[in-house]
Amino acid sequence: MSETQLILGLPKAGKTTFIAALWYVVETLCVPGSLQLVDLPEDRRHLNELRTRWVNCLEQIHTSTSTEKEIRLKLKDPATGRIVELIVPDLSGESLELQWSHRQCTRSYFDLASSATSILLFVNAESAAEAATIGEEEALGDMLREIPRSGNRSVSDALTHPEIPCGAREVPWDCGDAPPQVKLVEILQFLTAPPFRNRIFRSVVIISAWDRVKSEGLSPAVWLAKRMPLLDQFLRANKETFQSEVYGLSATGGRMQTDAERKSNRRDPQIESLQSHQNQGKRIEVVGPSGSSHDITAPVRCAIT
Amino acid sequence: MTQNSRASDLESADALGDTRAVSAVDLPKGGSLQPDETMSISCARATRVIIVVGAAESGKTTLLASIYERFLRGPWAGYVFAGSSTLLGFEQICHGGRGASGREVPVTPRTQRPEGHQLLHLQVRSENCSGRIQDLLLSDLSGEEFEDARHSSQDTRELAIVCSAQHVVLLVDGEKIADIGRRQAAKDEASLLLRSLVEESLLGATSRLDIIFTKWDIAMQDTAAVSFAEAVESELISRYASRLAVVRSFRVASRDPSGRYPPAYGLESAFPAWVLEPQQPPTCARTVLTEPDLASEYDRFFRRQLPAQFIHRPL
Repeated sequence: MSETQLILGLPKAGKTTFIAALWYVVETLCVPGSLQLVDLPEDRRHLNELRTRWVNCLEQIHTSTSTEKEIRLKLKDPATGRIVELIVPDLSGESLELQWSHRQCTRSYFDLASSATSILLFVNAESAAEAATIGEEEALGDMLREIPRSGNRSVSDALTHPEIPCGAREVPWDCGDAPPQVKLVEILQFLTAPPFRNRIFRSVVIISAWDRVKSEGLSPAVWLAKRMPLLDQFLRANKETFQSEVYGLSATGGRMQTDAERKSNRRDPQIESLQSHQNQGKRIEVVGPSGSSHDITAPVRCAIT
Repeated sequence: MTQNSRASDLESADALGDTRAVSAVDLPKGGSLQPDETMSISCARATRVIIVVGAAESGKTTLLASIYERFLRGPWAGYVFAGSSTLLGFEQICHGGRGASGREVPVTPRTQRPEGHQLLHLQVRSENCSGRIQDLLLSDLSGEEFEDARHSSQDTRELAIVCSAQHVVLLVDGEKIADIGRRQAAKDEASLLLRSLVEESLLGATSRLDIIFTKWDIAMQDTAAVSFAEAVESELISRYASRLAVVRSFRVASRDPSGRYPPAYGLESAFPAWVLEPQQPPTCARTVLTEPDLASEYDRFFRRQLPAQFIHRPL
């Protein structure tokens, strides 16, 4: 049985890092109870390149539109014995960003998405930027300066740059400046409107870089509602179409090194700590509806169940 | 994503475009809709049309932008955001009110007449998601059209789109109300426009009207302005309550530049009725039709079959 699972997310959402860690876990069987690789894919060079960088705690090389690959993994659920062939395109975030800005998708994406039955939607916990209104920035500025608001419409003197006339720094509208949650909602909407066929998707939202926001003490579902409220509302309101769960994921265990940093040979205790794990699977943390584990296949299983 | 990286990626897209152009698949445009572009929405699902009317710069577009800004921040007025076919359109009208615009005083782009009758699409669902998703089409008409309607019955009749509304929202400019030199003109603009719409039967016995005093963050600071607004409200309600199905009044600060009030402040009391009022047939029991000079047999047949639906005015 084949299942096409779309991995969607804007640039730097953690999609490729996830694939690297997933490949490591399903092939090494280092996490009890995780989905298991049944046999090696015919062409696994790309997967191995990703895995090598992950094991060496190196940042993944950015997936450009020209390096998109389709990955096929035959996986077995040890709990049920069920075998599924997972088809996972490693899409570049830019190709999805271009859907928003250019209002077109490639034929290959259209064909893949048309056959997809589940979605893993990645959002980077550090990139959930809001589009603050001028009023909100003004109020924040007042709080920081501790001056009472005058309540009139004149420009705050503290914010005015005397050498720059009011409005001289005006930035024209660029659709690329839309908040990430708006773009993600649109990408999901595309999947249920013509030219796509409206159908039901089993969806999992994965908040990557979860280790960076864990200290906020929020569950992934509450974090999503608080930090990406439009996306959260959209998924709730369209629960019949997008049957979704929310996971937090740290696929690396911490910040990865760049190639330049590695070449500098400078000691990094955090990296050394990660590399010291006998079981590299222990670097992974997954927080989901049923708790926390190292099983990076949990969201995959959730999406195909 | 920086401008440079975005530019280079778009260049990559363009470079690939030669090979991809043949195989690219078009996606929905996402901008505001013309009336004839709303067929796919209104034919698929029961859709409520909300027409916002008012003088130029009374805050029509800002009102619509503020609704979207509120949903960007979470559930609002008892509803959750369920989707929109015009996300790009909303983003465009919100830009001037955001810090990213580089501005220090928010502005909303004026709706230009040549852009036609533009509509923004919004889907909402009750916050507990128990009911169905409701589609709303929110009009964004040029203020100049309403200026003309005040002066001419013919121009009023051009606003036939008002007939299709389940809810009409009349804006009274609160900033002008707060200015003693302009408050009478603000009252006259709203009053004359409303009378024009009623007398041309674009509003009638089944119409639901909300009178909204906009920019209330300014008006509320002047007690004389508040009293004047109350008098205008009483006058309009007493004149038209018996001629329309429902007349309500609200005070709204769509976008307070000081940030004291959240976007669409005060509108949460009005919005639920835009979504939930029982469906009524369009206001116009009669549609004005001018028979063309060279009416075809089909036109004449159409007129003979549906005489009660139309008033025919000779050229």
